[in-house]
Amino acid sequence: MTRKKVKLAYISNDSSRKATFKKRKKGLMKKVHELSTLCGITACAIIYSPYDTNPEVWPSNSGVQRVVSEFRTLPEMDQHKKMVDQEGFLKQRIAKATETLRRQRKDSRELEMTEVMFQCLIGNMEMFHLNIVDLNDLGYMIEQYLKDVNRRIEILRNSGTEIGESSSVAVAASEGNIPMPNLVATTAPTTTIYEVGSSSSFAAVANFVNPIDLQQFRHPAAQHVGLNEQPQNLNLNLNQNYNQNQEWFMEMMNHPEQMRYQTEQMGYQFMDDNHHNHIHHQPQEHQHQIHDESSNALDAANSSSIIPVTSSSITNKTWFH
Amino acid sequence: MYVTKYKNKLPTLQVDLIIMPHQTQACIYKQTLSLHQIFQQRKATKTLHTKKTMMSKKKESIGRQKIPMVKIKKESHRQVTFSKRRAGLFKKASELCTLCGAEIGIIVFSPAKKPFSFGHPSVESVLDRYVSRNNMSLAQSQQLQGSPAASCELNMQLTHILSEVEEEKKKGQAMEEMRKESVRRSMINWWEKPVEEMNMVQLQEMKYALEELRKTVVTNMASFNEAKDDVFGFLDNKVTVPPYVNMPSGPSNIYNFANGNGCF
Repeated sequence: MTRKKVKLAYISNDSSRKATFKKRKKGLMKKVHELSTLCGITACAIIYSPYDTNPEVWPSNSGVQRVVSEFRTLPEMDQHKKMVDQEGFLKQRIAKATETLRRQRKDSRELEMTEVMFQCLIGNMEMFHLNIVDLNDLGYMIEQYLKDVNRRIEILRNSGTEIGESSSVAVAASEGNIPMPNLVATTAPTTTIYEVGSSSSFAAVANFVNPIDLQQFRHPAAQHVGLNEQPQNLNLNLNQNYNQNQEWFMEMMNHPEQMRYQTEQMGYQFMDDNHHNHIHHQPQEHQHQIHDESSNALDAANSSSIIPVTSSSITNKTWFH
Repeated sequence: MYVTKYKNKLPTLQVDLIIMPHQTQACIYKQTLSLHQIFQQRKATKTLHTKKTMMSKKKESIGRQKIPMVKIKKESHRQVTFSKRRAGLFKKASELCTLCGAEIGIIVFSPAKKPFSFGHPSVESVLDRYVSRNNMSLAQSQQLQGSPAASCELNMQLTHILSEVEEEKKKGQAMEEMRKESVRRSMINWWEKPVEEMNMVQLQEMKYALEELRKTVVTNMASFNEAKDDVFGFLDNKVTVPPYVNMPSGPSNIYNFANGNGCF
């Protein structure tokens, strides 16, 4: 005989019901006994059976009498405050189970959307046929994750500044190296523009394979982000650039091997980014045109910094096809 | 003596504790088993008997433990034990009323001397019947006619919700397994690592990628909105550019224009 989940309903079979009653009654008495023993409290139970006019009681008749009289001497409000009948008790359990179900569903949804977000980041968005509700949830998850990333960036930036201030030698070394990145950054876009103009596949492949140029492609993007974050305050903007260059170079000098490994990782992400950009090629071009039409100096700076991204997209498109 | 006989397979459980065998518990085994297996079966027996499941991750290591049947010394533990066991006691009483049509009254005083009571049909009626030593068959039949319908409905509702909770827990566990797979994969995919483990370069890349993905999501939502305006009209206010912090007006305008251009 295998055990099955007991259906919570009146047992129609008379002998089965009687047997169940006997077993469960004994179990209930045992539980009252355990509760009173473990917590050192007074308790009583009265069970009337359909088969017997005399009730089963715990602990004993005199014990029940004492507990009942103690209960009755309390004020009426105290008696009814924590009193439940079967319907009230069932309603309480239903409410508790409903809340548990809701919380469980929310947790599952969050885990699911996190997985979907990571898959979308590597260009697998077509795998999931997302509807409007899924897109809304996914947008919410992205917002939350972006907040975490921004908070972490702020923490690292503050700690980086402290390290910079505490180490004068590092500052001096960084100052010595500042002119070099500016020169290289200035040269890179021009070279890229020329290559795009020539539309030479060999040059494109060489450009893609060259790790140094690849590194430069990523760095202007970071500058772009910095410019966008604080566009109005020019002094703060310059400080931002200075800090970013400083951090980048300090890291490169301290860990050249790690930098190479990170470059490879960035390369992989770079490919994914291109795949992502490829899907929305036309909007990118429109953004590019808008930048060209603008005559503002700041917008011009943005435009010059954006050119490498667009050009690299075109280059990679050629290379892939 | 109550004899337990188990023929079907018992679930495999980790035995981390030594369980003292009880003389009062008699079990018939088909064959001689090793000590480890005996402990395993007894553990499983107790688990099946109490219908408790160790789904919670926190208790995975501790598990269910036998405690001595004496008064608990610590006040907070005693209070927690009282709350849990009182709920279990009332649950058992409710089940007995449902299954066998019994009338039950239970009164317990908490460690703080507050009364908690459960009764079916009601505490008052059971106490009155007990004190007066009267059968009250007429009142009994009248009350029994009234309440079983509501209780039956509530019991069905409760059973349904509890089964849904079980299903959601299984789904949650499947999600957990997927996340563990992702954690293993994060050795290769750095962007799936926790944010605390990323360095500045990775964080910048992550920020850029997430912002691009957010634009894509907003564009897709706008497409949905255009395609099914009559169905999703109530979601119009959601298909807007999310607020940017410290974002200049130029790029915002450009983004809006690009978004609009993409739609039409």
